Amino acid sequence: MIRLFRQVTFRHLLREPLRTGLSILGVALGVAVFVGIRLANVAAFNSFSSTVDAISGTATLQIVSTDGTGVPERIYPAVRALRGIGPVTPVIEAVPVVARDNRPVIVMGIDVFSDRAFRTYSPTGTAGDGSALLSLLLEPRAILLSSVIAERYGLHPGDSLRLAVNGRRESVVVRGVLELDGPARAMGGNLGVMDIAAAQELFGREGVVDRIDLKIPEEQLAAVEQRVAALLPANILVMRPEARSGQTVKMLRAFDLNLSALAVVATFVAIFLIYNTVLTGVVRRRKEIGTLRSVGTGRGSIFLLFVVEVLVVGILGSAAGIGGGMLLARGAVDQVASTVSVLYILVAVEEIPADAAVLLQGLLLGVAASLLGAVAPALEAARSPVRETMAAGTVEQKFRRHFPAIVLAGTSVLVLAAVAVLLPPLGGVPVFGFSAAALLLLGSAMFTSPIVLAVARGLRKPLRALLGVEAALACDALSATLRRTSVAVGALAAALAMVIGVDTMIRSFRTTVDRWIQQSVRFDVFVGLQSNTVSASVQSPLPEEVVRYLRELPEVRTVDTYRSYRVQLGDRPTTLASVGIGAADRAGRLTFRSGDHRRIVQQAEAGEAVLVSEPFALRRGVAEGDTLVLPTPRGERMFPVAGVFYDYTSDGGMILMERDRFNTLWGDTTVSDVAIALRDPATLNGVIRKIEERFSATHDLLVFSNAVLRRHILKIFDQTFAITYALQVIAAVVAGIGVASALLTITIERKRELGILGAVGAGAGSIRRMVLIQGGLMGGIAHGVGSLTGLGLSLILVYVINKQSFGWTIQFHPEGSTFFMAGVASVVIAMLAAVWPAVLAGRKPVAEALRYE
Amino acid sequence: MEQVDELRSRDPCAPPQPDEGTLSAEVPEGPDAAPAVEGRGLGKVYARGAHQVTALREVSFRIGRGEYVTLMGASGCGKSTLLNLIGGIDTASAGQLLLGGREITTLPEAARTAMRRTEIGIVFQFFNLMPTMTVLENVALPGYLARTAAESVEERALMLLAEVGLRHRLDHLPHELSGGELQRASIARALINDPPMLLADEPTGNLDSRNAEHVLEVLTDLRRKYAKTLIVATHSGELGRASDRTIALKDGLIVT
Repeated sequence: MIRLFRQVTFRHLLREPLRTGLSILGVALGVAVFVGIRLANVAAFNSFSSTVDAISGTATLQIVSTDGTGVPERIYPAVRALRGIGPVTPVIEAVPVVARDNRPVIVMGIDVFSDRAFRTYSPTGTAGDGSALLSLLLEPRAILLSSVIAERYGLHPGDSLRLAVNGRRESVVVRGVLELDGPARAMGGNLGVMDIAAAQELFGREGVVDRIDLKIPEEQLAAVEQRVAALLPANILVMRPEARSGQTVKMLRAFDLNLSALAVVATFVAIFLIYNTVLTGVVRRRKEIGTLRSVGTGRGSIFLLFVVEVLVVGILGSAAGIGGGMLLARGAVDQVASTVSVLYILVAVEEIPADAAVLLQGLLLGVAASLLGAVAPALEAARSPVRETMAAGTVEQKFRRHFPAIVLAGTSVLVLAAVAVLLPPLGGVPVFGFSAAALLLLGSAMFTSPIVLAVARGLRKPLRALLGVEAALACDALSATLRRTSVAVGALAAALAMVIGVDTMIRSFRTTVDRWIQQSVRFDVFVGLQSNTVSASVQSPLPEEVVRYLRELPEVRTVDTYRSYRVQLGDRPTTLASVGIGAADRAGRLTFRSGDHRRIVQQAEAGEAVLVSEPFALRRGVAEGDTLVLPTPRGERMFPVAGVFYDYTSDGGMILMERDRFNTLWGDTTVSDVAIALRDPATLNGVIRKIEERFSATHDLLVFSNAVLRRHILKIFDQTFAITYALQVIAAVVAGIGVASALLTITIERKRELGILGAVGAGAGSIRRMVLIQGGLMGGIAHGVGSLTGLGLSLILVYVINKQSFGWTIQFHPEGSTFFMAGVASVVIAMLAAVWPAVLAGRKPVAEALRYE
Repeated sequence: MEQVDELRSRDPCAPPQPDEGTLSAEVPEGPDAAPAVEGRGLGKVYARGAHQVTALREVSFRIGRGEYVTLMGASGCGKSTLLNLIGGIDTASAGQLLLGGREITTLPEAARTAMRRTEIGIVFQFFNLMPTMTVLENVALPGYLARTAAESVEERALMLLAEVGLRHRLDHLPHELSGGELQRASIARALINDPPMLLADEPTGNLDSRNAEHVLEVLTDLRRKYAKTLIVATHSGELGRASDRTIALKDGLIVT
């Protein structure tokens, strides 16, 4: 058998390098997209995990606050006083930005004595870290910076660095540079270390620390955890560091899953390509199959011959795809890291890991896609009776006999898809939504052949009148090679469906967000902190003097304030925001999904109840009238949910609480952002200029007019989805390869007919024209099928997958331009793919073609 | 179009009207008229991998206008090769080939294609009709390719189909026709653009004797009626006897 593989399989692969190459390329592109996206995601998630590991050091337990206010200092001595507790150290962890370029830096405030048991710092140019760390105690603004930061800004000991801290510009003095080792590796080496007291003063954390680290031997861990927990108030938790990063990874799962699913579609398109290649091989090697069968080769061996051939293509394609994916990941990682940072947690990726699990997934995906594409035609070859030559015509006739069964199977698959959309998510993952999308693509692909045949027959006459006899010949060629052409059309249609589906979902989402912004962003000027835009996980307060100044401006009619905290609720963090509910409502910001609007606002305004955002309600299974138990600095408090409002700022969800009630419970009167309504809108530019002039030298503010803020939000939105467009382009390229491959094989198979045409006077121009029209027709039909499938896919994305993954209600908003542009792209791709086959067909020597067979 | 419809509606078995022939029947006369075909030291060598196969060895010949010539010889003697060279389907490796006094060996492929479209009609042994086109479309195909108005091409195709006795088969596909019918359709196709010369490669080689006789009759009648030069490659003595002259080939050489 091995000899047979060597003498038959491998020789065929080598004899047809162009088609073998196209198949390998198709698989490689699909795998590359998948591996690239997955590696970029893994790199971003690893960055977070390794940051947690690096800054946690050898801590085995951490005491943290659940209400976002920090851990009161007094807890530290209380924990230390516990008998046999081992090393304990308090830590401040803040994320200011460098004033020069707004790049975030993690600054750890440590107790240089007790911290030694947890982390080892490696200052450059000194024997140990003792003297460098001690130097932090001698100067209130002293800092040790990682070598990455020092090199980036050309800093040396004695230099100062300006940081934007809680809106103010503050200088720190470099007292040493840390090697990229231990904690200095955090967030890609963007770390600074200060003395804890200095850090508390600098970051406004007097009286609190961000966490307390403990180092407990494994065997005592559970017992100590219990003892410490017993000591802590309700809003303070003791947990293991790995549990903290585990929560975040869980939060990112939907993001990862959705992007990876999109990447799989490119591989799905590659299945069509392989199917076509194997089918062509079966048709072209019919005599060889007959000969092998007649000399006693069994059906199983014939099947294996084709499967092994495809396995070789699959492995080579996957290997190339893995290499390509690693390169692609480098291009995609900045985009992914920026999206993850803006939406979830701060990450900075310095290197792409060659994650073995992802590479293996890529290999399996490529091989599985190849085998899936090969099974049907290989079985067909194996099942053919010895006497029956599998001529192209025989294959086509057999295929047409199966039309009713194919249509019935397609209908059944579509019915299954319709059922799947009605099913709820499994463990928060829209498993059935993704299944419905896959079934829709598969089901619609099954209808491609009858559609191609109907269109080719229906358009033959009008197209001949319009474009000449070449158009009629092109229609005939489509009908005569239906099985091959319809598979290529199906692949292109699947790629287009993805383009149309995803684009319609994004445009619907964008329109929904835009309308929501128009409704909810009605103030004239917005003032916030530049540093708060780095990540959703960083929310510092505006300096008091800024808020005071804004309130006193004569042009200002009202000042609406907003304060947000990241609180730990159950196993996931969420945003708790305080606003003047009445004022927010009067400004038109609140739209509820159900209930009496006035009564909801009254309840929330009284401070007795809270409002929750739609994603919060959907992801946590909370409904109107339910009760939430919130951690507050005064202990846990119960709040009824008065209403669920639409919000598109975070898929992690948000809780809105009346400002006064929040102030009472949290004892915090600071604000994160301010929204100003002016007495006279004409003074807008003057007011913005005034604020900027007053604070530009000393503070790090973000001052936006209403229009600019709206543009800013939509820009972030567009950046978030930018990567999906790259995925769509690659899927379309794979489909284009499918069309080129199909037309190439059809050109080879129809050599004799091309010869006849040449003999009766068809010039190379006519032949090229015919193949190009054929390509154009394939593109046009693919557009029709892809548009309908894409429309269905967009409905599944909007109403099932997005809703179940992120909890957003998106108003469905299909746009004609999406369909039109996809149509243009489809025809252009198919015609471009037809160029080379057309050139080859035009070059066929007539005599040789007529001698064919 | 009305004319086409009118023609289609006629009794398919009715013989063509005397004034229906729109094809040229004039043959240039006189001592200055160049021969229809002239070969001067014509050779053809095929490459078969590392080997070379000589199909024609420096053959020279002249065929006059309106002449009916058969190329005879056993399989592999070079008759089909010579026919392919005359038809511009293949190119000579050596020598000169003149059609109506014009050298065609050096013509580019596009010019040879145009020549096949307007100056030569070819009838193949295996008919070579396009399987997806109807009989009418197959016959009209060279006309469509010559960008002649569809109506006029179809009108002429209907007339020719009537002449070859296939008026009742207009909308049939090739696989629905018998071998004799296929070859008669092929003859009609060869005449659609009114070329001065017809080439036929074993036109009866794939037919039973009754059909072969009928096809031969149709071919020679039409040649005579429209005064076409007819060159037939065959090893059938029947065809040879019906022709004006026979050129015999053996191992790539003209022997008589």
